[in-house]
Amino acid sequence: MTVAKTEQLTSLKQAAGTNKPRGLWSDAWRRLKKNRMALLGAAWILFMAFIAIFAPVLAPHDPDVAAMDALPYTPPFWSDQSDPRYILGTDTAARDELSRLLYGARVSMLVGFVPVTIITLLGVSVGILSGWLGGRWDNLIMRLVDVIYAFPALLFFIILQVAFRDRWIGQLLGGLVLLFGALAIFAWVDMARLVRGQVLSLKEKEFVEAARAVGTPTRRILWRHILPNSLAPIIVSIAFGVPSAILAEATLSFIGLGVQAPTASWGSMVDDSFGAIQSTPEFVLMPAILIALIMLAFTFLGDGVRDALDPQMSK
Amino acid sequence: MASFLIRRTLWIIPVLWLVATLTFFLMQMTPGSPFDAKGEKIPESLRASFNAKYGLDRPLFQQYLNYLGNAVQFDWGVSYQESDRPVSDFFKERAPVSFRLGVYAFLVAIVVGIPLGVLAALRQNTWVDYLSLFLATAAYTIPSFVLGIFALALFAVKIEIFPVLWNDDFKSYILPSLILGLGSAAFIARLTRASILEIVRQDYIRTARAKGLTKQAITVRHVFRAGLIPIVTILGPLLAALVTGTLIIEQVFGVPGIGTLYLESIIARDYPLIMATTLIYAFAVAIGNLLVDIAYGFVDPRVKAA
Repeated sequence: MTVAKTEQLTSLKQAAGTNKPRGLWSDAWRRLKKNRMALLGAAWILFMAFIAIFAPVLAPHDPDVAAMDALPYTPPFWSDQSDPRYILGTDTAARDELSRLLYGARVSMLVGFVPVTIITLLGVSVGILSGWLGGRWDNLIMRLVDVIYAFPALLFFIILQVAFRDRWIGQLLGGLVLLFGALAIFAWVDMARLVRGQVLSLKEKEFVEAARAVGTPTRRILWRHILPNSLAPIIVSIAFGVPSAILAEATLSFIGLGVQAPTASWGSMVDDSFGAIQSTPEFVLMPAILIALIMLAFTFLGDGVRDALDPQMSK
Repeated sequence: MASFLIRRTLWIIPVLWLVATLTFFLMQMTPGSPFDAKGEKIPESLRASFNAKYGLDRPLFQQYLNYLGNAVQFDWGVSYQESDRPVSDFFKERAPVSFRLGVYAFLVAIVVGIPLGVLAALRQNTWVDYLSLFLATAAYTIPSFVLGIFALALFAVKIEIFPVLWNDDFKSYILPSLILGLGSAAFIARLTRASILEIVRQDYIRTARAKGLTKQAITVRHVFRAGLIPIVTILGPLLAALVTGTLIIEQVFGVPGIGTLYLESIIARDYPLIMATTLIYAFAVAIGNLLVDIAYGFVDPRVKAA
């Protein structure tokens, strides 16, 4: 507490000295920059994003095609029987492990960011609408939200995958489109609840009343006053929404109900080699370690973002 | 409070109904028939007789009503795969395994989580605190199946202390229970730490110290008693986490429990078994969520109004 106070004081002094305005955002940015774990997480995420984008350039082989000149489970470079053309060896179907790992980053990044974009757009719109309109509409929307909220998400993902994965929609982009949809159908609810709560408290504030009194159109009030003031919790929610989507994909792919074969995802790679864990555990461990690292990176960044935007919440 | 409890409990009914309905129609939309064994299609005439036998030739809506009616009476019917074995039979065989796993995991969560949290709080801002916080974050963040794979590779493949395959003895339960309980233990540790740190700052603790009580006496008599109350509030999420957690953990360790049964039945398209397992899972998750809301209702009275 006292630390926070002195920090506030020094920041006030600095601000007075330089005459530079210090808003919520520049303060948050300054706090985030001091959080070493969060920066480390961000660096790892950027690195993975880079790999995801340039996977076709970086990958030495086609990730989905079996090598004609190598056996399945050719060991990685640290073994005596390794093959220099396949640095990390080959998997159960003699596909290049390194290329599959690189392409797997693509799936994780896409699954992390695409559904979250849908979730944010949908959740924020519904939340603003529900909170602003109030009354009967609010009630109706919130009851729907309650039902979806109480739904066992993992079960639904599984059933949805089974029902649609052999249809055309389940085949799009190696099953990714179906995954995006399944993940988004559920998670927008959290965002909607959060934004509605924000709007409910914001619309009673004086500055909104003032805006209304001078005849500002509703659209402008929502866009210029309500939305910017709810942005901080929305960003925190996004920061935690991304890893939970990545986790869901990895889990589903691990039980064989995620991406379609032969698409490489870290979860499906664990599944592919899992049967051989006793003889060649390294092929299970490589994708598993990448899953663990990306989850840790997002959590550290998320914690950092939350602490930076809401110093009261951190202890 | 009473009306909130009743309202919240009744809310489970529409949720379960929706789960049942969605599952029913989504399974109907699945291409193929439950009688196509392992990808091979069976002759049309045989399929027709199977359909007639299990009532699958009736109009869809009638099947749906039948199913809902039976579900309300807890009549789950017979499995399609194993020569008409009753679904309840499967549960009698599989549920005790999952239940035992869940109870062990629960014990792990409590026995590991609370001491870790207390230790971190009492040694706040020392390396003990930072290390336990880091471990808790890692255990909570890394997916349970990944942790399970690490454990399996280390303790069953590298050093062969535990079996890789399920043996149905106590030794087989150890790794899955540990991994399943670890995420919840991390959660409990974080909560315990925060709660104890808050208590330590209270005035009555200062009073206790001022009147000369020993540090141990204060810690045991005042801090623990008040600091451990919030732990009760996480029993709900703990239950929900353990229930859905078993589904995945059973896959990693080859545990023949409800989770494995669920995935087997989905792959075999054994409708009666799928319906029953889905509803049981949904019920367990709903009870978990109910406990969460009730706990929050006690802690934060504003929840009731929402």
